[in-house]
Amino acid sequence: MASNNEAVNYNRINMYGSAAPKINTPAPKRKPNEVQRPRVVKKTRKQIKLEQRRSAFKAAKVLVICGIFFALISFQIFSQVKVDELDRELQSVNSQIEILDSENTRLNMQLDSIISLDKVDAYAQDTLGMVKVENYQVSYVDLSSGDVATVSGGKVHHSLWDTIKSYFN
Amino acid sequence: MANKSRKMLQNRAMVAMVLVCVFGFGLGIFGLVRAGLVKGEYYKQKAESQQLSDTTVSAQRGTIYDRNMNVIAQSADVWKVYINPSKITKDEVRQNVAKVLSEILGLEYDSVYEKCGKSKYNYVLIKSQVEYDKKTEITEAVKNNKGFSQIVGIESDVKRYYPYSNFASTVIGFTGTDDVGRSGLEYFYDDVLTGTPGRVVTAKNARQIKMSSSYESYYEALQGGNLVLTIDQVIQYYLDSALEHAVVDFNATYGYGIVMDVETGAILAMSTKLDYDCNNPYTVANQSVLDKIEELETDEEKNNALINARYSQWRNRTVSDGYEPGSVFKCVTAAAGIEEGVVTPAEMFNCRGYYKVQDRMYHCSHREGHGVEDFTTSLANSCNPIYIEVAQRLGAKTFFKYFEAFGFTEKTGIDLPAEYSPTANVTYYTGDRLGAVELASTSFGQSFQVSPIQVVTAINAIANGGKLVEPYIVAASLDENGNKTMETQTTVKRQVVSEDTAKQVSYMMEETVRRGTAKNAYVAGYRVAGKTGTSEKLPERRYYIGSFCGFAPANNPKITVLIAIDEPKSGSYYGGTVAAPVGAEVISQTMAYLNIEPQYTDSELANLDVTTPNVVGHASSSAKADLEAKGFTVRTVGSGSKVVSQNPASGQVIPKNGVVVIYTDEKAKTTKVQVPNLLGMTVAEANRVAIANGINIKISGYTSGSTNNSYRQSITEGTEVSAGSIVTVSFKSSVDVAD
Repeated sequence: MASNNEAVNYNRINMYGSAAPKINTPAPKRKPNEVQRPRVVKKTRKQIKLEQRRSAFKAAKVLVICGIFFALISFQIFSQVKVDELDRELQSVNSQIEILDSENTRLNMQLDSIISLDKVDAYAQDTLGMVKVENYQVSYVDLSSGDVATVSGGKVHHSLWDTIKSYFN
Repeated sequence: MANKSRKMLQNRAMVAMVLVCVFGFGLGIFGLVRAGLVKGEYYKQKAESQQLSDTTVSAQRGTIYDRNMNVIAQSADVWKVYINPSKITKDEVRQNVAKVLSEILGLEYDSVYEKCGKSKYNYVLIKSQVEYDKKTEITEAVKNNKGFSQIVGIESDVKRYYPYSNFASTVIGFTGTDDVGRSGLEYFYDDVLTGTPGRVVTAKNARQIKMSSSYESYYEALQGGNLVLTIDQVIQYYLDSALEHAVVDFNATYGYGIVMDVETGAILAMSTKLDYDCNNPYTVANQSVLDKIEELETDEEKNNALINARYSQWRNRTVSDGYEPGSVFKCVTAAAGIEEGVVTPAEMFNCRGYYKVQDRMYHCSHREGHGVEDFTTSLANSCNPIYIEVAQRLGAKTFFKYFEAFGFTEKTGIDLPAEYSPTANVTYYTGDRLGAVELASTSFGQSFQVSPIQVVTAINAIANGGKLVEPYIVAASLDENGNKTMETQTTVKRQVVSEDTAKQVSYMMEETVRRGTAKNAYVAGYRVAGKTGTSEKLPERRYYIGSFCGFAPANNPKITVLIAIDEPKSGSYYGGTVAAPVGAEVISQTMAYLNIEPQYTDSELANLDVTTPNVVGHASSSAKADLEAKGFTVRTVGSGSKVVSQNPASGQVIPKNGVVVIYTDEKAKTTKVQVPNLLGMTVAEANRVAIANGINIKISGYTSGSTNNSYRQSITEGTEVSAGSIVTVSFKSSVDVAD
């Protein structure tokens, strides 16, 4: 073991360009490769079938996992596409709402301008021949004492106190 | 030696390694620090713009309502149509674009064609505020015409709608194309009406399409506040239409008016005629002004004149203009005199027709003098010398104290822009500068200027038991959910005169309407108190402003009204002739609208018109007998036995001896008569002519006494109408109305 180390050291010295004489050490002899015979394991048919089944199951498992993985990715892509589609629809609907809001305001304004007081006044007087009410044609009803209604034929409800008083009277 | 060189080599290698590390990593670190700290914001924005979509959510401008929540102004989204002329390479395409756009948008072909030729530009606006129907047509045209998609573009815009066009336009104002208030309330309350824009920040996918809402941040836009005005749409309409008629009838330059709630100072109506359409504020509405502009020679002159005409029509003259109030101011002098105890309503004076102050001679409107009269009558006669006398008794200092107290030296504080600003010793004399001469002329409303809103506020103080209130036009502001964010409360500035003094002056003003210069402001059934004024326009003194200011009902005032007719040029220019009838019209209609019950005197009841009964379906002979028994003049048309129809219809109001035409035959229904000339007549004359011509008149305005004359008829002379039709004829007195 020590001779080997020395040989390595000498080689290193030589490698770094030392002026010392090179010592040739014999390379360690290699042992001829031993040829190993393959071991032959005899399997029963049952075992072979079992193994075949196992490998088929493994393949199926891989396939299922791949299938699930593929389905998940597909689902993800599909949902993303669907979300994008719905987003676009939402934007379109929002835009429609804005347009309809705007139209609603415009039409309301148009309606208001058509039924403005001056136009109603002119139509009533010129086309329908109407005249404005005169102040004296209006009858005013005095409600200063409250808005009172009398129910005819109704039941008279007495308060509890009135009932007690009437009992003693 | 070898070790040394080896070490050296090792050191050099180390240094080289360190240098590589320092430079390599150093540059990296430097880049990171620079990107993170120095240019962090820049890269952040770049990343955001690449990965995020940032959309501004525009805040809609608030709506303006009248006091009954009728919409006066409202905003809505519209569109702008623009072109990219740099994409137009062939004249054929240019012509086609110009043709399509001009036809759809109603523009001149040449103008659009010229815009299409600006090939250096990539954005030229064709039309803003395009509404949905036109926008749809443009979109269709873009689809149907090859190459249009690169040339024609549409983007969002905002439009402000004013449904009633000219309705209180000088008060409401308008907004610019940028949706910012430019005039009137739109300008004054711009910060309330303008909202705060919001933002939607959304992640974008590779195709630049916005991603789902889970990647979205929404910063809500704060919508602009809504304003609820004190203006009442109906009263405003009464004032607008009365002023419009007056401007035409008296060939005036302008007419302006204010209706104020006595107790609160809320402005119920405010109008300046001629005005403009809020939807088209840059279009000059006055045709005579446009004609004058057209007559100018150079384009520069025309442009300048056009700009001035626009500014002029936008001006709210009730708030921004100063004028000499004339005799209306005598009410203030009277109030000061009575409050200080230097005069009483019953005190007797002798008007000789003039009053000499130092070397200056002041004349009464009635040059011969009114003779002996009490102080109340002096107001009814608008007698200048008596008011000079009262002012002299008060003295300059005390007189000025009331001048100031009634608010003539300060802005009223109304929430409208560009209020007229009184300036000491420029627009009025201060107490120490009021010499005897200045005091004399100030006492009857001359030699100083005030705005109409100042005058109506001062007279309102008399109506309001001496309390001077601050006028206001915005009652409240609301948020987008309708919650009140601000509510204006009545501000009583001060008690100017005692309640008793206010009552005495009120009585004097009522007498002025009953028998004085303001008689044309009389309204049957209501006690109207008022005073007229006529003043020369400064500085030329060639034209006049006739005005009336009063309140009703005098016994329990609800509204104060000011009417001013600026530069009336057809006949009389006195306030009693031109402004008082307008005041009466507005007061009469407003009283009925406010459900204030009329209280007629016996003589008023005797003069009232009557309502036609229904005789349709009755036997013609009995119908005629019934009508004649009620005092009507009956004309039978047709030979049938039953009344098929009647004119006027049942329930119409006509004079007591008015004409009722009964038709007994379907064929006879077409009987027509021509409306005669009914102007310049007394009530009796007009009625006689009307009956002779087979029509009825409805009497409007001042009809007491024998000095009234008709000055307006609702249907012009020569118009063909059905027999028995009603023509409204307005009367006024032109005698003893000079002030």
